[in-house]
Amino acid sequence: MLSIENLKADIQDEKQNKKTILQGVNLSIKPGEVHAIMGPNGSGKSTLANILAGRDGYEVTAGGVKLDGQDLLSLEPEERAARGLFLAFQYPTEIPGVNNMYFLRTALNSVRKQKELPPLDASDFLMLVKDKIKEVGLGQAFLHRAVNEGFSGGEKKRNEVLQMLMLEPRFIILDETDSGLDIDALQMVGRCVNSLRNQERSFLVVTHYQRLLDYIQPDVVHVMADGKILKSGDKSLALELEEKGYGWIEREPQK
Amino acid sequence: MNTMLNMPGWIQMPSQVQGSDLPAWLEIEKQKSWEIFQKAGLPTRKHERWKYADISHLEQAQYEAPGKAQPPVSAADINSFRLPGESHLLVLVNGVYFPELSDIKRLPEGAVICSLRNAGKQYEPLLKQYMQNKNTKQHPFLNLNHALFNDGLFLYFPENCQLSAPIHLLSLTVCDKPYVLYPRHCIYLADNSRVSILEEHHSLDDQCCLVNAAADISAGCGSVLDIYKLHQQNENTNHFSNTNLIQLKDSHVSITQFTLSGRFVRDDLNVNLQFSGAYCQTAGFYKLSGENQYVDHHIDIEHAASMTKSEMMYKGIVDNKSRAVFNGRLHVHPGAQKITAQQANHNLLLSNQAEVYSKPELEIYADDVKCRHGATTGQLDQDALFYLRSRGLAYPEAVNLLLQAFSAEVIQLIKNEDIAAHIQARIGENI
Repeated sequence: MLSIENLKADIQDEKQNKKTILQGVNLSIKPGEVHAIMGPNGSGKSTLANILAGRDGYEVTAGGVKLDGQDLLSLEPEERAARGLFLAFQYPTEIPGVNNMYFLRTALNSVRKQKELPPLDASDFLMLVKDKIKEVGLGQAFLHRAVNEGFSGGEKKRNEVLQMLMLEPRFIILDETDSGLDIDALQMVGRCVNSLRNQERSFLVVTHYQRLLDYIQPDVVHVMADGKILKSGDKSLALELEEKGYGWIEREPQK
Repeated sequence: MNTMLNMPGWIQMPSQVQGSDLPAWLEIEKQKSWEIFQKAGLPTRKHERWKYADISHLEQAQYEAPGKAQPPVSAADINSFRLPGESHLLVLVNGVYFPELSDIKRLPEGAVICSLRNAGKQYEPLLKQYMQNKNTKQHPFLNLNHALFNDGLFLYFPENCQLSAPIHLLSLTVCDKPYVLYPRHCIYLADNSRVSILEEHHSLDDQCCLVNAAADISAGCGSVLDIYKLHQQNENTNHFSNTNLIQLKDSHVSITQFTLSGRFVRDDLNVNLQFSGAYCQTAGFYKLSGENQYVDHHIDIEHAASMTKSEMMYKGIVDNKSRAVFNGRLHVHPGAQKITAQQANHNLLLSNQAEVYSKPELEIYADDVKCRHGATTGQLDQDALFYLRSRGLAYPEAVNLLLQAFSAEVIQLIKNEDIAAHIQARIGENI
């Protein structure tokens, strides 16, 4: 479904100096699989997630990404969304003045339009959104507020999950969705992700902690450090990391 | 003879008093205003209050006063502008009130709406009691209006008169030649009256025109007045507006202006909070996108008494080569304690040739005062744009949503739902 080949990318810092963040990432995710990426701070996990979603400010210097066999990186962010790619942001943006419900409806109908489906009418939409907001544990009042404005960290993350449930994307990236969440919220994320899991849908879960993976059982766990995937394994790798930290992998001789 | 005087040829001496149907005292005021005006002429950019206002295009132009002929405006033209809900409709064509196009049948008893000339005949004591003829060198266009006005509106609301439906003041220009218009309006609210007004300005053609309007407003004790102005004139219209507002004890007045088009729009608002409990909220939203468009808000608020409150909130989107000016001045008089005042001006620049000049001024001569001010000028939030696009919104759709969101804070100040929907729709079309 998604294949990343030798992806290298730079960013420019405030002093306009180039810094290489991704040093050749290789990753292949098949339909229905859940992959987790773990790794220390600054290893390039969030950069990878943002490049996949199409955020500006990164320069891809080598390699490429294919989604369903098509070049992903030449697409605009909205075209990626239309093809079913979704990133639950680590730090969701506050958008004052844009009503959350209006935003959700516009987003859903934009994606439907690009899929050549008719827009959902107001009453069908309302039923759907009231149903889904219950699942993520937010009150209906959040629908009438501006997108993420004044939401707590946990409420923002719940709002991300709500968007995921509404848009039903096919390739979902969770960028540290678990950070800053309490146990109840963590279980909610796990429940919502599991409810979407099927043969066609894939996930890439970026996390620091093994904890989330108790709720979302990954098929493959990757360890990323210094802009590269150093080691891949099954879910036992996550437990090993929790116990020993990252140091031992970084010290292992590279193949 | 001062050869440096800025006095274009289209500014004509007022005609002689004889045959006038205005009260004699008002004719004398007109004459006085002319004398003050002609000493200084039109302002130049050397004047501090006109530093950014380039009016050189008015100096070369030729304008004339419209003739007496009935302008070609039909009831059908008017209908397309009507609000969906109930309203009291007043139609002005080229600055003159047309009762036959208007609809004020449901006005409560005691409330008066008529032309200024009529008021001079029928309600002279009221007019004399309220009318402000405050001419200062600072406001040359106001002096010019006071010297040359031909007619305008007179609105009077007696004590405890509470209008449930808004007044819809539709001001249209129809010009077969470049016209100059000097409408003068008077709006007087007696104690505890309550009125809201939507004042709309439209052109029915593309002809260039100059409107130099003035309004006297007086808000009695405990009265509530909400004024919403919508400017949607053609790209050749120059609109100058001077409003003098006097507020008595515990009166609440809001003035919110939306400027969506026009060549040159200058709005001077002079507010005098004369007695305690007076509260004035001024706000504006402007969206400029023309080659050479200019909008300028000058607001002067006098806190002349203790326990008075004021707010200014102006927001604008400035694109292409257009320019916006905000100059908000607060003046807290000596001894005027327990004052709360806020000033804000926020601008979005959509092109690197657009310009914004923002100048907050605070003059405070009392010590127990809470005043805040803030001004920002920036670009569209790229993170918000990316967030919306990553959820499937196409780039233009995402930009529109953010621009509309920027205007939302000002639209939210509109208390009447019909008016809010009407203005929101106009902004939506414009963005």
